[in-house]
Amino acid sequence: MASVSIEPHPLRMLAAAVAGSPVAVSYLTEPGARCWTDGERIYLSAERQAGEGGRELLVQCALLAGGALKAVGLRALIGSIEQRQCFLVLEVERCCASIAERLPRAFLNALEPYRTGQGPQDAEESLRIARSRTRLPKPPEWYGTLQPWAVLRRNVRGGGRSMDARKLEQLEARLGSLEAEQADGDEDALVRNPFWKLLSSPLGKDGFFARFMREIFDMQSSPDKAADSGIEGSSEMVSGRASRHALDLGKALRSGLAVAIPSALLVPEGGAHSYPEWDGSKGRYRPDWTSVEEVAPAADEPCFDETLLDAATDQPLLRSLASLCLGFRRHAGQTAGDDLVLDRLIRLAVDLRTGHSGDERIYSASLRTRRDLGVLILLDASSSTLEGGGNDRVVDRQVRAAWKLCRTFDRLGDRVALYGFHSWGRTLVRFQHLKAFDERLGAETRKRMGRLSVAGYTRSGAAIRHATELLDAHSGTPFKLLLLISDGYPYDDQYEGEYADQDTRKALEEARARGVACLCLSVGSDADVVRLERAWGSANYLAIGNATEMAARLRGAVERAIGAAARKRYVAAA
Amino acid sequence: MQGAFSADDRRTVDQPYYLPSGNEIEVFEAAHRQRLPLMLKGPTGCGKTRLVEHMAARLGLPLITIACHEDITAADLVGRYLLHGGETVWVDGPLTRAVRRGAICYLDEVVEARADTTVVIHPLADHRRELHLERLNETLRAPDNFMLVLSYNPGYQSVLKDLKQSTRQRMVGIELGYPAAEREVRIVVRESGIDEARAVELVKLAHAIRKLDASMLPDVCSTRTLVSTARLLCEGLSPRAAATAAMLLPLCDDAEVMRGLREVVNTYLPE
Repeated sequence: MASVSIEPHPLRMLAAAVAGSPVAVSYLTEPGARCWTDGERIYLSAERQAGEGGRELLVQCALLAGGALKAVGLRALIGSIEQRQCFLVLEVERCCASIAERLPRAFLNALEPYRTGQGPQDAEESLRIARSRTRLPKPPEWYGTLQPWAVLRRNVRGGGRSMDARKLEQLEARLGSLEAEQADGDEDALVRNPFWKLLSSPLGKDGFFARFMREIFDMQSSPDKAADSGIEGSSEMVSGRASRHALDLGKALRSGLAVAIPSALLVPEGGAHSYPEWDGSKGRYRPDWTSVEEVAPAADEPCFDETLLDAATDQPLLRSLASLCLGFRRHAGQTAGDDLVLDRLIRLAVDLRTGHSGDERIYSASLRTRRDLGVLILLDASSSTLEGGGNDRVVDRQVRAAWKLCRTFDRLGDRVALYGFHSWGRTLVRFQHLKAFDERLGAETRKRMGRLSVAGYTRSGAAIRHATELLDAHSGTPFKLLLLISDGYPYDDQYEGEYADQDTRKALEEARARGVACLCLSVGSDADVVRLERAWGSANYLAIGNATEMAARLRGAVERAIGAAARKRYVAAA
Repeated sequence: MQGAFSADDRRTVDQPYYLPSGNEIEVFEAAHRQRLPLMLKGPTGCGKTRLVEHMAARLGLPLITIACHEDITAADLVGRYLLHGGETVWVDGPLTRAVRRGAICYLDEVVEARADTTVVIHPLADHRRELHLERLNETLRAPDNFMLVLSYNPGYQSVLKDLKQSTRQRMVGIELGYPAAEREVRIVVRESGIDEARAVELVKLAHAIRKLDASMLPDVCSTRTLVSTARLLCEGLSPRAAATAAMLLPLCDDAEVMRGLREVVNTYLPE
């Protein structure tokens, strides 16, 4: 593996501008790697950043904007490299034409030699043309490549789309047929792979996904070799051992291994948010260890009943939080105060001389009425919250609590932001943007709540660090509060036990030193209290049964947390 | 005292340039004929003020603009007695002057004003079309030419600031956005005098930046900043330097975001 030095070019903005929505960018350090996208994230070659890098990125962004990877029947392209190239040429032309009004002219000129003259209307039509073996220009290297496997795999993993019951059922059925032909596996190869740890987690040990992955790994000799199978279609032959369907899925999962899972082959994009992580056993930080990206929530179907969001204003909660963190604000028209208001004084003088009684409220005064609190509500959207049944799962209670808090603070005039977070290993901590500080709470926020995707694990240290950063940069208020609504303790790939606890505590400590008060709220979860206190510390932790209990208990906890943070900051300043 | 406000009498001889994106000119004219007050919504720099100036010239009416702010009071709008020597003298506020003259009264960024202040326009904004001057014990009836125009930027309102429903419901609304690419090119060419090819490049850049969402960028570049960029280009600045000066630097202060935006500019514009 060659190490390529990566200049921290923040290409995320460029990618988001062209694609029209936030896109994560990762660099492939393998020499000669072509760039590609899985419909969600763009993988750019680290070698060609200068010069052609810009063109490569624009091509991939255009494919995303035009929805090329959403085509139905993409799997048909897997067997043939020629068909894939035809599809790529057709789709680049179609997608670029659809967003031509925001593409630079130099780039559009560079596309000219590869015109096909076919003019497909959508991705499905391109697919048909590609499969009809029409002669089309060969795509240049900077068009990158297409990895249909990765797209299929992403959908299976549940990264973007929620896995509904029907899909699950189908997968289970395929697994069943696979199990029937099961041969002895080579467990050692699996244990060596760091990703394997994720699957042997207490959260999913005997879950279908873990079993499924085990099957996949068993089918060929080594997961490491399998990693590059998708790149040029070399190893795409049908094995006789498993059914075609299961093999397809297996490859879909495997072909992305090198990039989707924490791995040395992948370097987070320079402009993404990277944070250190505290290694308690060695007593030092691991610099730039985690990478956090902000994405728009994109689940196809809401993971909870949307009527949850309709609840009326909680008056007791509103009252209990009303006098939190008030600052001074100038009020004119007071009967007593520090300054005379000239306008009012003149009016009074005129009134008195003309024989009226006049208005004697001529002073201005500073009164404690200004809301001085910025709140960031961080919602744990990991898959463990889906436990329980019916309409009273942990995730339902959490969403209800988060929404209620968000509305209450907003109504009181505090600055509020709301994010959902989950993670898949250290390079993929994801913040789902529900409401930023500067946005209004409204129908748009509600819509985003409905698209919250719930999956993955909880890397709380990175989440707290990023939330602290956001609060510090965007809240603009003297008092800052981070409310973490989570169902349990920190858990992620290579992030568990003592290590995770220590990192979480360290992150909380860092936040307090920066004057951010932290409070972890557990709503109706049955997690072990002792274990939770070890991770969060007893002062920062509040367990309540359901959202209605908040009115009684939240106020005190918030005050304690803010007091602790203020003291800490005072000590740090001294 | 009244002499100090002779600027109100300025009538623009030639119409300020305005290229409509939709039916806003027809709606404006219809509202004026029907003596209905108007509310303009739109992001900053999309042409709200320009539309009002253009329409004032087109209808041949004087235009009185009031920039609203938090401390503006009803007396600031209507007028007040001032001490003049030993005497008190009544001085009309801008709203009163607009009513007396039959002008267009334009309340810019009206949500910035406190709700109790905006209530004084209520009797003017409904069928009564009159202004009560309590201190003078006088009621002014607005002439047919008088028109009330409000503007506000929905994106900028904080939770505490919003127009009262009772104010909003009296208005006829026009929603303005940034113009479509082809129109925006025409506007930039016309306003700055640069050639069309360079204007197209600038507009493409702006359209890309407008695709960034609020979590990355608090605001996007407006048509106004595009025109400023084009004007700097006319002065001989390089495209990248002009875009940085007129589009990027006014947008935000965050160093990380700036580096990202520079990358966008470098991709879209030549050296």
